Amino acid sequence: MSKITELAVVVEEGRIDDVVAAVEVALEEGNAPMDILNAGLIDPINVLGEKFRLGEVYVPELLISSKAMKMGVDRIKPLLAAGDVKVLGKAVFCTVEGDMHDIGKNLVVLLLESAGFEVIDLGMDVEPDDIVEAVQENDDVQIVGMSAMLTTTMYAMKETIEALEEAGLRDRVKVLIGGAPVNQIFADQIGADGYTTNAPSAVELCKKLVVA
Amino acid sequence: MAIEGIKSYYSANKAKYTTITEEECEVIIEATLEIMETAEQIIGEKRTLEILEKAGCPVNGKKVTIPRELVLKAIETAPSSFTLYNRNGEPAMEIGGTNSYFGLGPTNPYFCDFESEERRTSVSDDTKKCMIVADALPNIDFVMSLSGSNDGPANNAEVMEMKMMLQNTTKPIIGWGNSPEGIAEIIEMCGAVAGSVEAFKEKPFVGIYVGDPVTPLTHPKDSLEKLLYCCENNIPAIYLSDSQLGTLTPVTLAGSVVVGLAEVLTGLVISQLVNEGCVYVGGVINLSVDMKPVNVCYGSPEFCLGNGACYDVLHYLNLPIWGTANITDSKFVDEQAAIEGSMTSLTSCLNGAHLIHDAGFIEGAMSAALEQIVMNNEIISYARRVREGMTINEETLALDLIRSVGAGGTFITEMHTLKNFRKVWESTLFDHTIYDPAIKPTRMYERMKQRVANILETHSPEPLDPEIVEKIENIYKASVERIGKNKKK
Ligand code: B12
Repeated sequence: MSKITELAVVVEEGRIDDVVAAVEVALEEGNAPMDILNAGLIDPINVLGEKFRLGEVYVPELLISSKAMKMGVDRIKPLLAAGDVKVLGKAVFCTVEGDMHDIGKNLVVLLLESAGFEVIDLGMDVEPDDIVEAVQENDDVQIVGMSAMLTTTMYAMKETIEALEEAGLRDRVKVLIGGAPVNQIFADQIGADGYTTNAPSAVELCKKLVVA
Repeated sequence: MAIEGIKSYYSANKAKYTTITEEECEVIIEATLEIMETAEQIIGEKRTLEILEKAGCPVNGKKVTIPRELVLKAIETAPSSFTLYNRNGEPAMEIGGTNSYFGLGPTNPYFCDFESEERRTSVSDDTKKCMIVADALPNIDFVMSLSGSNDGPANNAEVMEMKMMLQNTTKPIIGWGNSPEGIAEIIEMCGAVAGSVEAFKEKPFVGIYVGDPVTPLTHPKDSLEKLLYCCENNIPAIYLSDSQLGTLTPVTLAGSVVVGLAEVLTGLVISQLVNEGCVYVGGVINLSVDMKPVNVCYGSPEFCLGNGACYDVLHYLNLPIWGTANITDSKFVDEQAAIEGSMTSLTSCLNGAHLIHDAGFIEGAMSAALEQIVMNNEIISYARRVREGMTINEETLALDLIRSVGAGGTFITEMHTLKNFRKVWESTLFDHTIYDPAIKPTRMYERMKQRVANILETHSPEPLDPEIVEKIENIYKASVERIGKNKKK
């Protein structure tokens, strides 16, 4: 087995303690960093993603492998030419003001990151103004994702969209919402660009939105 | 092993069954005390932080650790039992010891419509119907609103829900709050019912579920504000931790239980520092997580085990226990709902949890159904009979009778049978008939529907005096005004 294939196995099995060493072994073997990145680190994640879609792999397995991949990428990054690592897109995420439910949001963020997005996670109980500020400060942000789990807090999403409008930023970003009490009708009502019921489909949606 | 400074009430509070042994409780308690002393918890509310610091907790910004002695003292000073009354001021539930009471769940955003059987947004009229059904059913001992009031303003939905509950049942009520202001209005309503707030506090028929810690180890501002408010005003307070295996807590049950208990005992310490001797009810829900899509599971063997271990530990410490059962993840009142309800009801009842909520819930607390209350009532009745056990004495052994009836005889014509047969559990829903081609058999779901329809048609809960109703309506009006004003600010 080539050292790159061995690395791919390490990533697929989520062996975070072994991944950096496996990258180094692959480098010693004389492989190009670019090949290590693609075949050794990214390919196994794509394989897992497909298995996840088929229901063979569960979320924790996907996440731990993504973590392994990231550690590998960090090790190899200094050796790559600028522009070799492609970021799919950049997003700001949060759970809205007054809401302390962040499990769902965290999951969406984790899966987005492992799909190649860069995400600024503002945490939970986040005021509209803080979201506006984050978009203002990062002019490459394309997506704003908001999560709400309470019928009392879902209207904070509307307020945030209004705040983005007031700040003249609404057209610069796509707004994505989610959480158990919200639905497509609500998304349309408040003028959001997208809504989904789960994390994997949120990733698909983000991919579509940044291409569009 | 026995823990220095803590007396074990494990045997005294042993109902029919325990999930873990006395020694295992001690391991869990020691581990919990260790975590409280060595792992920092976030306290999101300033005054609580000051109270804890003054009591001797090391504080680091918003984070605290809690010395063992403080926990031991709080266990000592918190009441181990208390009485909840009914709306008429009669004792209804002695919370403590091995007594188990069952009640509804709170404030779901959706409801399964009784007529159309479709999922729709819940409204205050759903609470009213739930109260009528619960009021009529003998095994629902206390109520919660079992539907969010989405037809009114959201920020005082709890006040609307209390208004509906007070008017449609005499059973004890557990309310909740968006804020201390909302709870104050609820208490004002209770005062209107009892004659005065003092009279209500003397014989409380309402307790307040003040909210939850945000697991792991975070106590948010709004939950703490409500906890402080209830403790200071001597309103029974319920604080419930929500452990989730592998997401919010370790995936292993023992570690998960420790995290939940550390949070609940932190709430206990706060309650006793604020008002020594005030009533505090703690509980931990242990949800397993379906890791394929990451969905929480309200029905699972781990749910029964984790909750059971917490019941045992709280029994050991002789503290009032908030329990959870009857809820299902199913979207329907179906076979899954029946299995999940049966297992959780039976185990929590055998384990002797005190206030066991969540009857009526479907879809993992997102929705509810009237048929589910009726089914849960039946399950609870069944579980209670199992817990009651059997009596072995001369009369029940009936050796003379066995001899006199003899081989090949029948017992059906014996006085002993006549005297005792009504003690055998009888279902109000099951079909035990023999197949008869002339009669079309029904499914249990149809019989549950029929039962609900009968109750809604024939049962009218004892009404409140019109003057009291007017007072309650006025308090609600003022509450709506308060919400309007806050909005404008
Ligand atoms: C866990 C939980 C909590 C935990 C949260 C811990 C945490 N760190 O998140 C705690 C215990 C803190 C909590 C507290 C409260 N809770 Co709560 N909670 C839940 C529970 C049981 C599960 C939520 C969950 O984690 N689901 C699992 C995750 C993975 O799913 P998810 O969040 O839906 O996320 C998925 C999708 O929605 C989507 N998604 C999510 N966000 C986004 C964002 C975008 C952009 C996209 C595209 C997709 C997306 O993808 C995710 C992954 O697949 C629900 C009931 C339920 N079954 O949902 C009640 C529930 C939401 N809570 C409820 C209530 C009432 C409360 C409290 C008010 C209780 C109280 N009385 O004080 C407090 C409120 C605190 C606050 N201010 O927010 C109610 C809400 C009712 C209502 N009318 O709104 C529910 C429905 C339970 C009930 N019936 O009582 N709760």
